[in-house]
Amino acid sequence: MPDLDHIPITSTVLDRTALKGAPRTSVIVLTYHFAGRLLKPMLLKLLNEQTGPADYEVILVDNNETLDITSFVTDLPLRYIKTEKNSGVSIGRNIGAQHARGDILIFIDDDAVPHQDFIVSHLNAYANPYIFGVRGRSFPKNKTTLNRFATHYDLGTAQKPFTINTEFNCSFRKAIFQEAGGFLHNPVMYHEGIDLSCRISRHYQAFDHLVYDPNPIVYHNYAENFSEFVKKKFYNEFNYRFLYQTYPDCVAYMDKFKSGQSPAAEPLTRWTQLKMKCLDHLATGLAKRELKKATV
Amino acid sequence: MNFSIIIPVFNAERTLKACLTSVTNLDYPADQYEIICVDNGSTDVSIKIIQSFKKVRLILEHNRQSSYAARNAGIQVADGKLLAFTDADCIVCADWLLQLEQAFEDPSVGGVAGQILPAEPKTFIERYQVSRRVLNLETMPFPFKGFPVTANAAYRSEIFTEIGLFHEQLMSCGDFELGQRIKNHSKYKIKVQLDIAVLHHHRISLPAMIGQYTRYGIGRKHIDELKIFPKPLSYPCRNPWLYGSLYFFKYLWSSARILLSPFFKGPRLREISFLCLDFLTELTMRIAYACAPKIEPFNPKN
Repeated sequence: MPDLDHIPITSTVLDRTALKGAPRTSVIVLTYHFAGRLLKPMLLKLLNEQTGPADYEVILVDNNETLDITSFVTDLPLRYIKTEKNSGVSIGRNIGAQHARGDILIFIDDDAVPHQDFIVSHLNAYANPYIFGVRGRSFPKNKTTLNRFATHYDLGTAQKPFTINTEFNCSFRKAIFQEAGGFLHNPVMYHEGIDLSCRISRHYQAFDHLVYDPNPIVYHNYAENFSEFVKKKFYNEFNYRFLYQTYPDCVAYMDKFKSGQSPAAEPLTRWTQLKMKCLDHLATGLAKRELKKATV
Repeated sequence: MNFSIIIPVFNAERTLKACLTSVTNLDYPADQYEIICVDNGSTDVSIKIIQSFKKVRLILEHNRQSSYAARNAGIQVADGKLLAFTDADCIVCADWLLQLEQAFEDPSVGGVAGQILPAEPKTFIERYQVSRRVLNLETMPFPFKGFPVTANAAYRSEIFTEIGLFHEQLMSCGDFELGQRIKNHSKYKIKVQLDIAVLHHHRISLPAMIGQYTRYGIGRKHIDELKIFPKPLSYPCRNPWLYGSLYFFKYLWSSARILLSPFFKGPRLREISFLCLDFLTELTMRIAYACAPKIEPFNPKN
């Protein structure tokens, strides 16, 4: 099980956020090996062009980027974390979560472009206290053949319980995220959001704490070119096998959402119904007894 | 008085509070039922727990160490027309007595057998017994199927005056013996109601479970000695060699499934250890059956 408190990588932190006091939200941007050409406009979109209240901080986790981005990053009002070595997306996001000061963590990737209501609509979903995690709606940036494979990006216009399978557009309550232990330290990337959702829903015995919400919108390409597409498919299969061998219940959980539909709640069996009846009765009896003790 | 609930108690401090809480808060007129707890010589704080419930009547039965002796002591002081039995490690549901009463509306019904379901397992041994569906009425093996288990059973009080009390010298299977007597020597019949459920806490440790199966083995031997059932219980078939080979093939098939399990889904280590426990319980029961002392004579009509 991953543990947020024992991440073995030291990192340098540069804090230039203009905010005074604790922010409500932390937006965590992970970057590695991506041309700074698109990163800067994306960060500016996050920092300047968002609607809604401005009580959020942006954390840029630099997973030891080979290009020099410090030149423009130091001018921006954000927290900049540079790790000593690149150790994968999960650990990068976990480091960001560790440094976050907000109650809600929003994750976004360096190659995604957020809509102007991105942060507000993520926050609006948390007005419902039952919701622990939100997966947003995504669109490809342009119409290419490779982007046709991104069938799970857009799941309709209604909110529904779903697994969190787009890590570049998702958010969690920080307490829940930390309790679950953060993202799994995968040998290769992919499926880490699903693994985390599986752990959360197993712990709370319900899969509808995590939802798909149509309002937070992000533009993100499934694959930029063919070689990246092949790499992605290969890693996906590889990681599926790894999950299947090490965490079979996670795969069973994932298979429930295969068709893009959220599964119906499974009907209780007759034995379970009878058991629940007995346990309810016991709970009311114990409560009555406690009340009596308190009044006497 | 309509109902008397009889609960034998022996060192049950772990589960007794839950049991008595559920029994004292039933959806039934409070003056229409009584609760009798029979302490069978507990050495822990069970008696204090019983005394903390004002509705419960405490009776001591320290002379004879047997759960059936404790139940008999309870029967002798009970005022109810119907006697409901449960154990100290059970939790009943709110409409338990209402459902039992409904089942007794038919005048030919003398005994009602209810379903026994496992409570949430906490230890490995409990999980094993839950997976094997111990005490579940629907999956009970052949000679015991359709007979009440005293963890969740109710009888008319006339039955005990007519055909006698529980056989006190039996280690287990006393409910089966009483059921056979009801079936053969009284005008009443036994009704099985699977929607009347009780939650049962299984044994939590290996020694406790071994002790349980030892008592099962000795009880079966005694049932055979008393010639209560036409066939011997340890080998309920005509050809023991055939029966033994069937067991052999059963275990062979289970081990083959486990060895092949990398190709299928499913946790492997748990299945292997459950199979070992299967062997162990079966062996314990057979050894206890073979080594059981002779049963002392007892006339249940007295």
